[in-house]
Amino acid sequence: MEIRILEKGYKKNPEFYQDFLDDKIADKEEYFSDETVNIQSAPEFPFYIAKKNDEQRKVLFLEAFNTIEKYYLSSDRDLHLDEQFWHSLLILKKRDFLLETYPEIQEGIENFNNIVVKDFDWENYIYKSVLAAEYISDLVTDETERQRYYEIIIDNLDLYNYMIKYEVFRSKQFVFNILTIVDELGISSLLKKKIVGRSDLATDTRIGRQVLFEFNKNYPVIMSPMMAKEELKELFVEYLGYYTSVEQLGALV
Amino acid sequence: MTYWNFSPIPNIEESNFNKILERFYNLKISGLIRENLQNSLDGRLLESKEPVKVMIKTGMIKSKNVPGISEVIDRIHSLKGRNSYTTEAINHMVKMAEEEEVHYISFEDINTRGLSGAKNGQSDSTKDTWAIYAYNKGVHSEEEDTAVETSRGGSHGVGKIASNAASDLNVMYFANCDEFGEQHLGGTVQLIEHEYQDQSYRSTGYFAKLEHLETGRNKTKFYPFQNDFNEVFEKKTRGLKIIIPFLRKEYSDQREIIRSVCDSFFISIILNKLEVDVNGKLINASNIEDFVNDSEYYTQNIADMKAEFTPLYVNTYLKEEPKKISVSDGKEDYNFNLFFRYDEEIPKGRVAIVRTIGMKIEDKKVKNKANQPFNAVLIGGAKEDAYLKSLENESHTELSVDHMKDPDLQRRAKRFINNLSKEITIILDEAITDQNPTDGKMDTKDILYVSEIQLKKEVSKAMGAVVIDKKKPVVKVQDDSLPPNNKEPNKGKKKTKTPALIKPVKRDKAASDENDSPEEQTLSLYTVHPNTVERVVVGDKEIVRFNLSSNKEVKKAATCNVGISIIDGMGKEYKNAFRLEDNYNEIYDKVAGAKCSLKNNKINQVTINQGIAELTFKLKSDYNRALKFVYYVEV
Amino acid sequence: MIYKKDANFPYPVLTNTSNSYESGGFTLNVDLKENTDNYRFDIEYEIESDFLKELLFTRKAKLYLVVQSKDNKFFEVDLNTMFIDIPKTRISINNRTSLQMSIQSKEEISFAYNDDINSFFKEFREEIIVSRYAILGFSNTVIFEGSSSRPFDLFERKVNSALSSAIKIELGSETIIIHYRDVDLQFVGLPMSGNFNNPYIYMGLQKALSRFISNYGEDGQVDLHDIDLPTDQLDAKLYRLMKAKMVFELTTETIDEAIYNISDKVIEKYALAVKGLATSGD
Repeated sequence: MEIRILEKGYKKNPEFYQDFLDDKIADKEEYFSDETVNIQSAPEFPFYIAKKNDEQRKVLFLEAFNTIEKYYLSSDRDLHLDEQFWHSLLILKKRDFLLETYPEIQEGIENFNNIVVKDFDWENYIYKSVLAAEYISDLVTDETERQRYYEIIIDNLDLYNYMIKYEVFRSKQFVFNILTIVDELGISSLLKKKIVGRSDLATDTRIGRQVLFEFNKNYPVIMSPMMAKEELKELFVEYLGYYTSVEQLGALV
Repeated sequence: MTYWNFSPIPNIEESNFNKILERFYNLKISGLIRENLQNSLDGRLLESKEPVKVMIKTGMIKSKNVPGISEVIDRIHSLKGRNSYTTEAINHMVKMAEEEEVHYISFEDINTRGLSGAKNGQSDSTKDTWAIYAYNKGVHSEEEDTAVETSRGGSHGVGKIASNAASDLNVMYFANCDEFGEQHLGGTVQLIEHEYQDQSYRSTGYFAKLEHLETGRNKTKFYPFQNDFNEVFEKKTRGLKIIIPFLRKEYSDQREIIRSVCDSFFISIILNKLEVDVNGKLINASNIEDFVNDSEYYTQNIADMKAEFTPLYVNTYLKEEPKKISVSDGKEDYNFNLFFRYDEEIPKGRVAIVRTIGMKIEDKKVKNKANQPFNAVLIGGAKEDAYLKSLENESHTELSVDHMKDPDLQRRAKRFINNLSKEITIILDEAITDQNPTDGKMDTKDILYVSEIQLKKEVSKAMGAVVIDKKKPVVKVQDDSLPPNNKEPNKGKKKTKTPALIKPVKRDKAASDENDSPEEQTLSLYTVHPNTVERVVVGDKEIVRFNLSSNKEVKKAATCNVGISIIDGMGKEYKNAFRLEDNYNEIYDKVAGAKCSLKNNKINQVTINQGIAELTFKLKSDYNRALKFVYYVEV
Repeated sequence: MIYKKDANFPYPVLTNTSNSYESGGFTLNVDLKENTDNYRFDIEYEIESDFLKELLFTRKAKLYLVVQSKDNKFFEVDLNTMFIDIPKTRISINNRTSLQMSIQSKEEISFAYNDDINSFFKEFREEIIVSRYAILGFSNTVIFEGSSSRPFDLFERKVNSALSSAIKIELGSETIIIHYRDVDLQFVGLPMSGNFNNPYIYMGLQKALSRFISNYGEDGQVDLHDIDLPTDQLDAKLYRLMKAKMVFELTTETIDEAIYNISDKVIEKYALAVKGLATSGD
């Protein structure tokens, strides 16, 4: 499949939005750069996942993770982590799918900006899914185990988002190790709790985020991203102890 | 004792001064500088990577301290002018000889070989360079290594006489210290053939001891004097020192000396082959730009650069990438690097022809293009050097064919000079078309004009080099965080400025500001660069020592308040997130010998003694020993 | 991730900017190559501390190469490692790729015999103990900048007859774009027409530098020493250009001075071109 890459400048452009609705993008030469990309197959998956209940959300994320793992991860990262590629693919090849799946796109340009030409960063569902699929499929070979890890991510989305938001945490091994530790300790819901009565803390007052913030503050004096899981786990429990009682966890470590 | 020796001749035949004297006299300071610096470059220590250093000094000396000068003056009084020109010259010499204190200039070189075999005196061995230099005028010794030989500056062997020409009495001395530390003094004087005490003598006199050889009664030989003369004539480290007493007045102009050094040797200096010290002002690779960009020495307005081009050449050489050009003389091809700059502001187009040793030969005009807006520097390799050398006139100031005797060589030389002009014309025409697109020929929307191209070049230099060249190229960004010695030496050397180590910051941006009391509001807050603070955590204590002397305001304060910010793993600063009372049991001011109090999460009134403040912190048991900080002071 | 910020660590750390170590710095040079499947990073480094080299040699410390592009990758390297290959499916180089090396302790380390540290630390060295997993040194950062299809251009020109003003200066992602409504506004055909366009260049630089100040400055001023190479590619070019021209402080008041320093006399050339036109009597 050949995809022409859009020229920058299409984002937040009302004319472009109108031409998308009118299906006229392909006719207008000025929207395109002189670059094209060839990809074997580019099946659709949930490009946008929000405002759903937990169960629906899990199904959609799993579909996204699995589709990306199967069809996109063997391409160069210059492609599957590139904003212009994804936007070009969505606009030029997935228009019908988008209009059908996310009819709110037609309601206004804000929705279009938020769903279709969304900035390709940690808030973008494609971006989240690509990193999840890459990290887990690179480290877990067993198929059932892999699905289990995908579910761990979905169950700890707040923590996962926090880790891929900040570059200090955004590495395959660290993300994987933290997810494993959370799963082993069974503290998923504990980490989501808000900390009360600590006026000295900033806005991110969920326990999980605060524990990660300790890793951030101490880096690189403590080079946590390079640490093996068991070593990391000791520190994790120590930092967790700053914010909650860890006496029952002690037995698990 | 006789210091000066002239060869006796049967009778006087030639009644004029050596013609070369006048030619150098007309070249003034620049001729003198060129000859002497070039000789020093030729004498560089071949095994040394250090630049040749030449110390140029001007000053006054009592004429009685000039070795053996009374003998020269006696001879001058015996000179007889046989035409008006010589008479005038002799009268001038006689007059100048009366001065009790006279100007001198000296050129002392370092990192050079000096002359060898001085103690053998007048010798026939080609290795005894002293003998050749001191007693055989007009012939220079050939280097054993032909590569060195072709790169030598001098080719006509008349260099020394440039120094004679600079003296009112046509006298010059050379002090030599060889590799064994032997120190000798020699010298020459250029008079005319003359009669002295009933004997006729040649025009050239030598400062030397004359010794009679035992084998033949009439055979004599020159030996040099051991150098224990006045300090102006001293040369105690390996190398040669030229001393010219009775210096003509106009030769002492220091500004003109510096300009001449830059004009002729800017490439040698930029390439770090040469450093020149003029009365304590050092000109070297890292500061030559400061000289050529200083309006004390050169006009800085490009539109006025009509006779001197050195600032343009330096700029062209440092900023442009060389283009390769090939110039044929009909038989052989010669390859040069041409550094070329097109700039519509430049009033006169000139090409600096430069020898590999770094000396400029000529500001060449290109036929019919002398008024075009460009500037260029042309440098070849060893073969090109040898050829250029054969084309130079005796004063090394022009490529010419006039001095060539062989008609075939002369024809080829003419063709070479024409082809050189032609090649440069091609490049110039390309530049003109590139930068002045004519209507209708091109799609105008994508054209970049002169200034954009100039900017693009600058950006490309500032950014780095393309390492992966594809549709979306990848550039390796230049790293200026490293100390300069890790980068390419010399060419376009950058100066790195260190940022202020203690910088004032606005209150509302800095640590612990929410509840500043009114009195705190009146204090100034400074951020202290980590390199001016030392911090270490050992056992249950933490020691922090400030050196605040780099900031005048802070240094003169008697006390300061200290604030601490945490830096996270991404380099982000958290002001006021670190609570002092939660982390420290006690804070001790070492200079005052007292405990410190806390106020608004700051350490209150820490004593500064001559810019130094030191704190010792007693740590609480749960103190996080992995944190890193930046400090603020408030005075 | 790559750590660069100067800060006061609780013990001496070998870097190129701190003066904790007197013996020297920690320099890294990297070259980038590619084949069909991989990017190869050739590494060359120098650790100027015998104490730290000995720790590595005796395996009391480890050496890591950190590669940061979209995310971070860590490679444990040993003293013989010459290069690291990364498959193209797992690293993108069309944005910025930064590399750094760091040394991490594998066990508790006493600094009692560290002769490379400065005199302040030497006073306390008997007592300096650095724990496990701690950073002992980090190198300079080598940066590869990708994606720019015009890696060195600062300006682009476009002609667009539909423009609602005579000219428009746009700050693009990599360049300053001058849009002209009419080709004639470029003075094509006049001698030295290039220089007649210099006022537009001036305006473009002014606009770009103003944005630079508002992006990175505090209270309308930026100290270039304090900021890293910007990720925005136009700003990165301006940043490098200013540093190369020794413009380190940029404020709203000094924009004109900065333009003068980074551009080659655009206004003088413009004036000269106008004078030239006037005297040629055209």
